[in-house]
Amino acid sequence: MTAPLLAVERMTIGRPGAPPVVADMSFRIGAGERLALVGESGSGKTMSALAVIGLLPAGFRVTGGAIRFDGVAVDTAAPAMRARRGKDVAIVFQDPMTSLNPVMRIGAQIVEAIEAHDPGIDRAAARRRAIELLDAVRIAKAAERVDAYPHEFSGGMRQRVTIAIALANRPRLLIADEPTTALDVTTQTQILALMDELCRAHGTGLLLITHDLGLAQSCCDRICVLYGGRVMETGPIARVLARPDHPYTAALLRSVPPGDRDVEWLEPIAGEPPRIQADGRRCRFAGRCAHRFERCLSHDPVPVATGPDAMAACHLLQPSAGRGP
Amino acid sequence: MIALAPSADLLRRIFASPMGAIGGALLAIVLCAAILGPLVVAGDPLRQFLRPDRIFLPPASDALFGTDNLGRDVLARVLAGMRLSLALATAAVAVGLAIGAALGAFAGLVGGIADRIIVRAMDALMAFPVLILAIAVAVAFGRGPQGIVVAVAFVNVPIFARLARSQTLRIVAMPYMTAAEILGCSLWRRLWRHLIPNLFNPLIVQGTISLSFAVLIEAGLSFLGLGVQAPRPALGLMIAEAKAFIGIAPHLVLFPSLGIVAIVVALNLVGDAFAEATDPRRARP
Amino acid sequence: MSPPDAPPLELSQLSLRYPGSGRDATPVVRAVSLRCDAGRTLGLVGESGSGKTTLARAIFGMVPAASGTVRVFGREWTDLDAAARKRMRRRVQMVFQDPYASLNPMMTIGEAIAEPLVVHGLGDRAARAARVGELLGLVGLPADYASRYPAQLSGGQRQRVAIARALSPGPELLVCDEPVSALDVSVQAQILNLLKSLQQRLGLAMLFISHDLAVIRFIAHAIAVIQEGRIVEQGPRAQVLDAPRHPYTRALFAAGLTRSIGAAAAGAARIPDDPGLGRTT
Repeated sequence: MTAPLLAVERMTIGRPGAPPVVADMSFRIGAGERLALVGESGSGKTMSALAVIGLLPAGFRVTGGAIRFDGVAVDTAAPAMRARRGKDVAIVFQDPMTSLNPVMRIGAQIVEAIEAHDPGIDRAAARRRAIELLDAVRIAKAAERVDAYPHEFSGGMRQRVTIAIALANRPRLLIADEPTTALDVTTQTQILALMDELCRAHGTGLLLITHDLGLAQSCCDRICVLYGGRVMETGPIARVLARPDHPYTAALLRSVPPGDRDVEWLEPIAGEPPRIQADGRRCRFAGRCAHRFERCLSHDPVPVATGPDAMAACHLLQPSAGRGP
Repeated sequence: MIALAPSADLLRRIFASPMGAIGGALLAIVLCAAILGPLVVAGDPLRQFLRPDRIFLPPASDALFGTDNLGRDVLARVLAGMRLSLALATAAVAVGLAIGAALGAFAGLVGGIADRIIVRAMDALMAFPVLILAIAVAVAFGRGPQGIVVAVAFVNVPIFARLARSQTLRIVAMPYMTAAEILGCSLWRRLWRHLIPNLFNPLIVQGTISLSFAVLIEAGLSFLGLGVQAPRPALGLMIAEAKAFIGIAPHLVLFPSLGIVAIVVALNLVGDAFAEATDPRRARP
Repeated sequence: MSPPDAPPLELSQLSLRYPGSGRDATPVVRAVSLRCDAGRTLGLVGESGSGKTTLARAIFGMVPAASGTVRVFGREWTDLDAAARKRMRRRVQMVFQDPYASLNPMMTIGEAIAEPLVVHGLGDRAARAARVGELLGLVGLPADYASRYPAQLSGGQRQRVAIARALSPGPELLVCDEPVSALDVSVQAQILNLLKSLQQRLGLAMLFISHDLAVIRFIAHAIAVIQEGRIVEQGPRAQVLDAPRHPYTRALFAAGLTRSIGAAAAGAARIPDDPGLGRTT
């Protein structure tokens, strides 16, 4: 069996001396697969994505576990990662206003990405490729607009440019961190459709970071639900959203206003997502979980396989707990 | 009543960090030395002993910091000099802050032509080198500490004005200001309860930076003979007087310099700790 | 005094220019007519750039009308003298989008909630303290939170404080501008339930602005859709939801549905790059 494109195994991220912001995180993406990392604030989803591409903020380090590309463990914080960044794995960020350099023409920014991994390329050839990329992301009149500055574009168009930069070197994995959150609803749909089409065309894998379950469902095959820096549940997306095994996933689904029918009251989850990661052994969601019992407050839940490609970390699912699902 | 009261928790946060703790301790020493020192230490900064056995005494002899070329007690002079430096710097920065912040906040609130005039005026003021200005004041009003205060205040006005203006623009755009208007607050109440309390922290941060610069500027100007005149002690002046004797009595240059360094480092450390503790990015949990 | 049966809010052919722009600038709100009835919630659906924020400010008399009128309880802001304006401010209040920026960081929670009472001279110190406690209870926060500062509270808690503050002068009309968009998903439901229940208990008229259709569906009795400064569709919620007439409304619904959970599996509607939608994105 071939090794998956990306395998994160029991990864822990934190500042030395402080409780980890992400612990025991495991997920994998096969070639061309799409995985959604879904969670609220404090869930560790962004940190996990940044660790994969080696862009953790100052002070934060991967302190445990492994990140494997094609089965080979890689130190993403090492300088050698730069050869991969932009070439094997690329990233699109949330805010198109700040992820483009305002004083550089967009063509130049795309060329910069191309030349970073192909230093010998002739400038004219790089420019032609930049125009092709702008075309591929559906920017009208690409040949004219290649010399425009970012401020001359709307938010949605800027996001298309960042996608063009990310896909310039045909990466095998695209990480998208809340790529549409800053955009209007109708623009969001177009951008997602674009990413969908381009990823399919080139067989690019997608790691989508989002807080929006509906977005994840429309875009991805599999989902990994995070809370408080831990994985709560993983599995094929249709199944997880239709029949969640983890109380958090279930509670989250119940709390979202349903757009397709009328309800009198919503079912909120009491309390708030954790702001600061606490230490100690217990389920991170226990404080807000309607089904908690003693063990939840004294032991970390162990991941349990709930299907051929699915798992959940909840004490309710442990046969020894004495309280079955 | 204006809420300055995050202070209890804020003070704790400032002095809990290593930088804040060291800076705070140093500042406490500096302040005690400067304010109380002259009262406690026996020596007289002005009294001369023109006898061969009393001049150029090394430190840790009869006089703790030694004596200078005129037999004067260096410790007493350094303490008096530190007191003077702090007093002049504080006066200058206070004046600069008061005038500058008022101008800047006014410009930010009113906008339009008045704003543009004030901004241009501040730009012009910023171009003034403090040295030339101090000399000009000395020529116009005679030498002495007042010239230093005027010159340093002058160069601080545009600094505080720009800061106050940009902060005012930021604060006025905040939803809580709109909320205050929607609640029915009068303009005066909005300024007094919502704008001014939120200007404090950034102004204080800048104030500590300006203070430490002011101390350095004062030392530099008095080194050039533009501040208090001999025989009164000023740290820069003492260094200037002592440079002729640096071969035989280096302690005469060393101790006033240490005095300047202690004040500046203390102010910088505390100022940085304060800036970190009040960093608006901490507001988001 | 207001005409007795005047609706809490009525906009007639209102056009607004962006504050500070000149006479010839294109209006950011164009010929908008809206009505919010007593005790009912009007949901205003619009995206960024649709003019909804400027509209909200105009409701409070903070943006002069280029043409048309804004009537709050039957009165126009321009007809009121200073004292009457101040009295009117007790009747209309607002909850803002960003819970991190809508509370003064230098004021305690108690001071923030009590401020409208102080400003309007409602009660002495003891009475104000009692009312603060009552309001904190109403929004589900413990009474001892009155001595805390906003920095010590989470986003959801701050939004509750903002609601308590808005309710403190006893308004009859509440404008909510994207009140849950900046909150975590698991917290949004709490605040939405709170707003809905308060609206029912206190009989408030509410103008609820949001880009999220699912939220509007949950909370509004009537719906208006705004696109680039114009109301393109308006009516009772059932009518707008079941039979949207304007292409923009339909596009919004389709986009929203593509992302509502469960609908996607059936094959989401693809939004064509339709120039008719008005903007090249």
